[in-house]
Amino acid sequence: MRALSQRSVAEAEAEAAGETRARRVMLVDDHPMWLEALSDELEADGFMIVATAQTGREALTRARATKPEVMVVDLQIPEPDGATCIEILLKEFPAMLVLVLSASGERDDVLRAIKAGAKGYLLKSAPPEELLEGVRRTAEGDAVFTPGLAGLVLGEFRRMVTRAEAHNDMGPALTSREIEVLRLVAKGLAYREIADRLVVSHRTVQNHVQNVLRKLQLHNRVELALYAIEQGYHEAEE
Amino acid sequence: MDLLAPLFRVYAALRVLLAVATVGLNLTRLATVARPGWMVGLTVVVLVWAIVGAVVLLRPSHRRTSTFAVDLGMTVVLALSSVWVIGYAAPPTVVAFSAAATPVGVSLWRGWRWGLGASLCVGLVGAIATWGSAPSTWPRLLVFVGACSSVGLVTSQLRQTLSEREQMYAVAAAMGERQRLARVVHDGVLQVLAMVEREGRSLGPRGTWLAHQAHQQEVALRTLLQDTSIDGPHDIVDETHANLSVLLDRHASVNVTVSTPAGAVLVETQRAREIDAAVSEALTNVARHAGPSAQAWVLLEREGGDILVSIRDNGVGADPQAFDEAVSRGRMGTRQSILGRLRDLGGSATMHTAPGRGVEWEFRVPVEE
Repeated sequence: MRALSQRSVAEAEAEAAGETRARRVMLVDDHPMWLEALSDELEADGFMIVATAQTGREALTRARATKPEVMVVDLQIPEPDGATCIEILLKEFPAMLVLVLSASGERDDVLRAIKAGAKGYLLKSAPPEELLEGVRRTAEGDAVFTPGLAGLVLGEFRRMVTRAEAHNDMGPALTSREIEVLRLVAKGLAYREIADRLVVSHRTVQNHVQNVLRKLQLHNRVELALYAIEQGYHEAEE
Repeated sequence: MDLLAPLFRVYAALRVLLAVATVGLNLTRLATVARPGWMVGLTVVVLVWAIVGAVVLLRPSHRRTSTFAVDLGMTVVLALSSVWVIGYAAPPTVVAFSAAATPVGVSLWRGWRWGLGASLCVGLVGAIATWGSAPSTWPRLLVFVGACSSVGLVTSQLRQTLSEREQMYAVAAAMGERQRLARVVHDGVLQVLAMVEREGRSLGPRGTWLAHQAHQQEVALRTLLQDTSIDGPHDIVDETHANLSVLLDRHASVNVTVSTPAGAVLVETQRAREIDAAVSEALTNVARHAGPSAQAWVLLEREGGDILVSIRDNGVGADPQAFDEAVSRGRMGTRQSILGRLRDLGGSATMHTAPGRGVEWEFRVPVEE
């Protein structure tokens, strides 16, 4: 009851402030205690939990039924795993804002989810305020980066550039500024600190990070398409 | 699981082939035997019996002592009938080539000792049935016995190898299953630790302490999991190369965040250890001088043929001049030690610091592919 009244108050406030952030959230986590804790916190913050799911299968059907604006997904869930769910759902609902949460931080899965179009990644052990802030920023369409994720993405770009050079085609190029920003994120600097160091605005830093993500996702699609064409070409040859 | 299935399929074909050859042989000598009518009849029996035996023995449950005893008995009876049907001492017997069928089958089934017994039995009966034949045909008996029983030697060996392989598969499968279960359990533990860490902070000083403990265990377990997953990265890839990612990951703790690319960063083992040692030294310095609440971040990158490692902390920092003065007074500081290590590797290290701004190291080491 309390949570409900709290929520309506928060909602009313949000409406009064004319806020435009997405509020319909779906949570995917196989641990009930996490679902409960996250639901409470997000509802208290004015979000509306439209669905929860504990397995990949549930996540797919419920997301299709409720069409949430924001999805918070744990990667370690029963079949199909979180990264696969994200890949499938973002193909169907490209506008969905996805934040990845994970307890174990399996690198390849995290990278897969980000390449598929997730907006960001946080470790589950992050303090509640940080988690909440992460969901808020995701809901506003911003990228949420941890130092670990920045390191992963940097590595991935370097790999793609090397590959592109080997194939003699135009690879995904980051500007030197984008690389600089990404490296600072990976070295643990907050956006505010990065902005100070590079003498630019907080928003500019945010935009750089956003661009990096967009390029990564775009190039992922290009790579997939190229791969498909190559496969098709080989099949046609045979 | 029928380990011998492929062998018995070949055996079935061989058995029928031997019978067909026997039919051919018996037809060509039809004119020379005492009772041609009986010869034709018994040759048909040999062929039918060979086919029946081949089909029956395809099934593992039919490979019993009684089956082989009946088969052996039939061969012996047919061989002995030669005395009356052929009527003179000229090998081979009515069963001719098919005489080998039973001993080879027994060899496949029970190994060379049983094969030897069966082939001796069939061979001797054949010798008796064609008693008085020319001495030049006797060595055939020896070849016959040797060939039939040595088939058993091969199958014994094969059977052992196959069962060992089966056992290895079983062990590997069990290990895989254990790994899978361990992942599930570990994930549960990680979830609970993360929860304790989250909620603990709001429960006062004891809760904060609890959260701290939970975080330490969480980091330790996560590092262990990334380190030991069955097909995941290992630090030593082969004799000569190590995965620097995994080496550096070991430094992750409550106060240290390590960021690495996905996939292995292979570096020659000795170089990897040196780089790791330099990182260790920098981090020890953070723990000693940066202040109790300082956090450190390690970033590993690969840029063309170079390895880049950055180590940054948000601690108290230092006046860069203090470092140089320490050196001029003859004290070899950490800084000199790290610079020395990097120089020995043909790389370079730069350091930036200022009071209140933490310390930032950047190592650049060339590595060959």
